[in-house]
Amino acid sequence: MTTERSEATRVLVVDDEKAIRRFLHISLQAKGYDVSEAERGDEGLSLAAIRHPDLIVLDLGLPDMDGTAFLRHLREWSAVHVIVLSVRERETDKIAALDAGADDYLTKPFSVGELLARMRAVLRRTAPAEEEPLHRIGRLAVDLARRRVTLDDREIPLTPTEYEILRVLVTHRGRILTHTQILRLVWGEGYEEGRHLLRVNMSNLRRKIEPDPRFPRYIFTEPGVGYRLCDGENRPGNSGGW
Amino acid sequence: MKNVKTPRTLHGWMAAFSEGGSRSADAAAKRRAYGTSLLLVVAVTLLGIPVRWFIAPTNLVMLYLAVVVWSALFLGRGPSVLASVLSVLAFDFFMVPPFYTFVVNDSEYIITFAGLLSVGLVISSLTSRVREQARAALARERQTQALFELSRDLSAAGDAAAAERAVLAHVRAVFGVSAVLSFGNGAPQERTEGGTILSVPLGEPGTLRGILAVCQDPEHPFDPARRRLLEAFAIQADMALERIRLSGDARDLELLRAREKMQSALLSSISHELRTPLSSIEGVLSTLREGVDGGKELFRLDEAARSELVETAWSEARRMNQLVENLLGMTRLEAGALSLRREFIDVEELLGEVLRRTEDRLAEGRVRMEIPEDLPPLRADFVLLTQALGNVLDNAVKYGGGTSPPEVRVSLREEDLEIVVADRGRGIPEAELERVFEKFHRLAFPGGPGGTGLGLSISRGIVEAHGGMIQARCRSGGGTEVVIRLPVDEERPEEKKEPQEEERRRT
Repeated sequence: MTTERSEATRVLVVDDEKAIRRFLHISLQAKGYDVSEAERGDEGLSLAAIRHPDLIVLDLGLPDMDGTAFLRHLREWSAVHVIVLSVRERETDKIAALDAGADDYLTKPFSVGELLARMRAVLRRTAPAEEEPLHRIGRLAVDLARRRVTLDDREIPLTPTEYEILRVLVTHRGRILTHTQILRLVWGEGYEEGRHLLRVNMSNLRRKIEPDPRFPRYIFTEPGVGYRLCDGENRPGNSGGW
Repeated sequence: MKNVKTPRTLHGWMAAFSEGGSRSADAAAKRRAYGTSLLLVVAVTLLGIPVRWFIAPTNLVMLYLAVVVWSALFLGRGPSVLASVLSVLAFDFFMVPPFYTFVVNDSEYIITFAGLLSVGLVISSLTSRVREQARAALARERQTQALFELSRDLSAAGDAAAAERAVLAHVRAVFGVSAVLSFGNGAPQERTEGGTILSVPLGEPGTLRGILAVCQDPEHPFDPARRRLLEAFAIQADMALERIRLSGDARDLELLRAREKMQSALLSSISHELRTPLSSIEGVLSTLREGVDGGKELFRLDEAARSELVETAWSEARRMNQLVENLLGMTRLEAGALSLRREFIDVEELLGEVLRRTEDRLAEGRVRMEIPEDLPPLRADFVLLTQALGNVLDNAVKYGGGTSPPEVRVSLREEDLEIVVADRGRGIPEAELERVFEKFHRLAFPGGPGGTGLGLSISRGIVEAHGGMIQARCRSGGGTEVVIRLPVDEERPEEKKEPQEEERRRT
């Protein structure tokens, strides 16, 4: 393990709760990650500058600065992946953090399994496989090069908007996208308020690609926050609620 | 005002108490009384002149005596004294020979004159004293009656404002003047209307609570009797206000006590609910820890036992989390801190999310759903409604008996969206249908599933915050139906014109 130190993915945990830091340190290290810890926001920022982590796990409730402020400082000079942790009832905080540049969020309490799945999804973006034009999600296949979507090898006719939504979700596979982010990526700037457009198109898209739109298997609703595309069979535990 | 009818009966008293207003009328009445006594003497004299030849003057004097007594009885002291004097003079002048002169032949008549005069004076003073006493008794009775009516209205007054209204109405009715009740320092300066203000304190000088002030006519200030009555009014008002204040205090105290009792009941319930899973977790952890204490095994746990223990701790931890979430939710609902993030949401998407959340307690697809296509969007808080519906569905699963899957039926009823969650469980007794939505209320039956009794009350809070309503009812054929109605906004989301599809293609 120590010999591969330079190869290991570096993770920085910024959380003021010692128990959380300790449990993350132990479990992530056991999974082969190189873990460092920070208790406060300013400490976290300087560690991020010194150690250049590949991923930061950031608690939104820091004693010295709030999570979005941390993200704003960080994003001035770094594009490092960030997964934020927050308690349940703060949907607005989550959205603010995601819109401020966080890649994903987890609701406390969470299991290590969930965290690892989110970390994998986030880190996959930097992997070269990203460029691949063909994406398979369960029985669903999306060919970005040929703009073709098939379910069980049967082509699904999509309107251009529906296709764009699916494309955006597929290229961010496993990661959450806020409503605003999707609107901006699909419709462009100035459509951030067009929530109903997204709602209507999402409903139609689900009808076309989901075997049962009431039990989505591919496109999941993150209540009050946005959507996430992933293979329902391997989806990490639920989140949402208060 | 409740005093509308009292002034009619009080009008008479006004005359009794308000001498000032009817002074000229009194003078006229007095003049009439003197006139009457004069006329009576003249009448008796005219009656006596024709018969003075046959009847002895000593008997005629009885007629004059009758006039004096009658005057004393009905006309008062003054007229009767006048009647006495006039009678003596008339008797002497007309009845005692020689007639038409005050000269008296027989000096015995001097005794008759003196007797007539003194009898007249004594009788008139006696009867007028009786009259005065009757008048005073009547006045006392009227005062008592006025005070009684005031105190009756005051005791009916439930709050300080009503008491104040009653006092002012009675003062106006009894004294015929407008009054002001003022609390705190300073006599009222307004509504003087050119008169002088007479104010009486409420409460003792040391603990002055306020002032009852009336505006009196400077020409005819209140006499001591009216002033005393006004003071009695003030005492009554003060007592009533004090009583209202004290009973308010007592009510507050009782509320406080009830709240404290409730809070301690909640606290013990919560700590019990928290401690139960916590002790399981602690038990599991201590078993695992002691098993490998100090590097050497104290007892051996096989893999299956270990994973079962861990599984127990895990589900208990989740249960604790659920409880804490519910408590937080309840706290926010009660603090009124629940701000809805309303947006147009898809009902189908909402229910999909609700089902997904119940998934781990539910084999997939084990809910029968009836949901029409093309439902209008709902303007609601997605996250909170998920929670509200989730709690209801949770209950349907928990108490549903497990033989028949719960059903979710969605329909449009007039302006409302109706969501019915139905199960085939043992049902809820009629009397409990409303109470299941109360905080910490749980149906008691042995071996029932655990819970905090918070779920449905949170659901109700959320649904009501959306302007909707939630009810439980017995399902025909057994089981329970929970009906949720949510208003559908008339106004639909503004259909922003979508840009040309072709232009948006990104190739």
